[in-house]
Amino acid sequence: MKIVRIVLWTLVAALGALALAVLSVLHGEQPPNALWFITAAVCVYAIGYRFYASFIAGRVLELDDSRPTPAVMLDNGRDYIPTSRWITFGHHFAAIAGPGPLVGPILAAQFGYLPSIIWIVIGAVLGGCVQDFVILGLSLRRRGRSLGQMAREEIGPLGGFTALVGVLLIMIILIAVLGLVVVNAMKESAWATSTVAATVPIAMLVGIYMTWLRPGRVLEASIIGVLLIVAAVAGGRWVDLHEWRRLFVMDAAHLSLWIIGYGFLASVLPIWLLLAPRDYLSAFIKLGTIAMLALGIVALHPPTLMPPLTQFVNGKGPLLGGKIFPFAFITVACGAISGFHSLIASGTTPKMLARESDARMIGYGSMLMESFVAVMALVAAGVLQPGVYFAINSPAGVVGHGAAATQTISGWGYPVTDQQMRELAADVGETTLLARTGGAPSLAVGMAHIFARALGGRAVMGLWYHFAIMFEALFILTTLDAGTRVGRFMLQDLLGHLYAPLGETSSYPSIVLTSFMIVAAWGYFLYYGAIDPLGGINSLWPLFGIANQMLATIALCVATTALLRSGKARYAFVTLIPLSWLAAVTITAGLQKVWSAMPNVGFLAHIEVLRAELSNRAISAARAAQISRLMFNDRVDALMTLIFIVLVAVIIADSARVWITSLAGVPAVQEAPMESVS
Amino acid sequence: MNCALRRAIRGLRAILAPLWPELRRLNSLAAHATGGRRVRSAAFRAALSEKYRNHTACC
Repeated sequence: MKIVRIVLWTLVAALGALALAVLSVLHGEQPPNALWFITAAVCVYAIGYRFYASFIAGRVLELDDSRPTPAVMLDNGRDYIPTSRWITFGHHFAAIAGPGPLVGPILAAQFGYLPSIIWIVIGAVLGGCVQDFVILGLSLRRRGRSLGQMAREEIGPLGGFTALVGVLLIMIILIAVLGLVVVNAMKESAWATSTVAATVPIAMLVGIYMTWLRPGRVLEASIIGVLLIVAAVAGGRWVDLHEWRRLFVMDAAHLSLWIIGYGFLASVLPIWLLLAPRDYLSAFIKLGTIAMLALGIVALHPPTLMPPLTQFVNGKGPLLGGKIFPFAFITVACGAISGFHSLIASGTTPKMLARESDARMIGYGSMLMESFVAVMALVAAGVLQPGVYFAINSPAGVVGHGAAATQTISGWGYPVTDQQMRELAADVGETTLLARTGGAPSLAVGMAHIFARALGGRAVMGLWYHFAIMFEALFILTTLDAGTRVGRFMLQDLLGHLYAPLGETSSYPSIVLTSFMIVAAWGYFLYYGAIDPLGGINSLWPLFGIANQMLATIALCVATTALLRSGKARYAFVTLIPLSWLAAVTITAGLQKVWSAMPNVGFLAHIEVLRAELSNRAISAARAAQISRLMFNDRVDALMTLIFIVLVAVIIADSARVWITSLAGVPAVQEAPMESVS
Repeated sequence: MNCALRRAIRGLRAILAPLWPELRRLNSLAAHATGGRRVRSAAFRAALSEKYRNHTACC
């Protein structure tokens, strides 16, 4: 049997290598079929899971099912509960899978599909999955400790403080950029706005049902909620044709104010009324839509139209400025590695695992699934004609308006006509699809293409498009409301040290004040992103990518330190390799975002361009005021980026200090001793 | 019914068997608390706030 296994795995490896070769060099004149993306991903994932994850489980973490897990040791029927591994897998995947893996690959497709597919697949197997798995394994042996607690214990108080500040800052940027994605998807669209707005009362109705009408009946309430949300997608078309339409057609600035108001309400309202029911609904729609998209891609295996590399590897891309290194890796974001996952892997999940060996499937396997979601998003962008893709995603400030935009894009060598964009907009029930920056609308068009080809054809493109928009908005609003609430807790925790009443999580004045502070922080970036003529995404998404990978750097520093301190120096390469890569990427990207001479990349260079425009006496007073605001905003962005660079440098230097001490002296193991359970 | 199909269904049921108690537990979170709807509602809200105490938004 052993020989059969060897032959089988050799075939899987060969098929994966062939698929990657087809995607990179062997595809001939035409871009390859979507199935090659799926084949490359599945083969590399299979090899990674079978061999690398097994090596990490056996040698690095030494997982042992005879050791009781925190869930078994501390079972309290609330947060520590031994749970079936499939349920834990579902919980963990639903918790880590946010909008990042959907939006990131769409934006990174401006470089062509090749950098994204390579980084998504290889980055996940050697970086993202390793981070999630190792942090989960370490937390399991430390009674389910959080990343911040482990940073304090393994590295020291400076490491713990850096982790706390890093998480708070990343939360602010994350919520702002995701808010901007949803604003750009809904602006000037009555159908999209009314459908997404309807999900708020639906979530509240579900909350009232499962809290007051039939207390505790979570599944029943969720099923009712999912049916109502599907009805809201169809109802949005009715609103679009009704006189109510004018209530829901808004520009980006007004929509951003509504989103800011929603974030504040979600943070101060009781959890059972809005956040919990939205989370349940989002989980069902999330898992169902991802499964549908996978089936659609496999069944239809559409040809991709995006070239492997575009001319924008030169750093002059219309969506995001900056060269392929480091910006392609920053832009892909969560599909390859996400520092945020380390908070889940050291949060609720380690308190649910019934056996240590389940950590491989849940830690490593869930991230493989998320990476696969990113591959599907890339395919959804790839099935669009490149001209259409650039027309949807390029800001008007770069390509102009209407026919001028399509002419500019055609001039780049990606033909698209104004007529074609008008027909596409009519097909999906929108007035225009031009300059819909942020990635969500182009993903929705790609998904609608795939779904409509499988079910209903062109006649129902509008329905599928708005279903996809609603699906993305639900993802994003769930992150936005939960993030605001967690950010509020963290702020209360910090401010409680200065003035005790502010730290009381049950005090309503404190809740309202700290909620206002958190919402004002992300609302500032969101509003200025919404009024930025370059679309806002250009500056905010790279900032988010840098912040998220900075958090991954912190997590990998903690993991490397823990391995060294427990006498496993020879296996430290497992976390040290992705750590070195991420440090290079985040620091290079950060420095370029501040000091690059290209105004579409460097914040300071952009300020100089704006200053030159301001010195022109012919500009209007309104434009002068706008320029002043944009210059101030660039300065704030530059300051945030510098803070991120300093945080990464501090955590790496502090960790290196501990590594040198550990390598020179006796290792100090932080693992909880093995305990027997009666 | 085809023998192979029957075996497949039996196999599938065996795989899914451990999931049912978990789903039942999910669908009846605090629903079995005694003392009327008001008490069950309070128990449910307490269970939710415990569940969401450290709930992190992910990207």
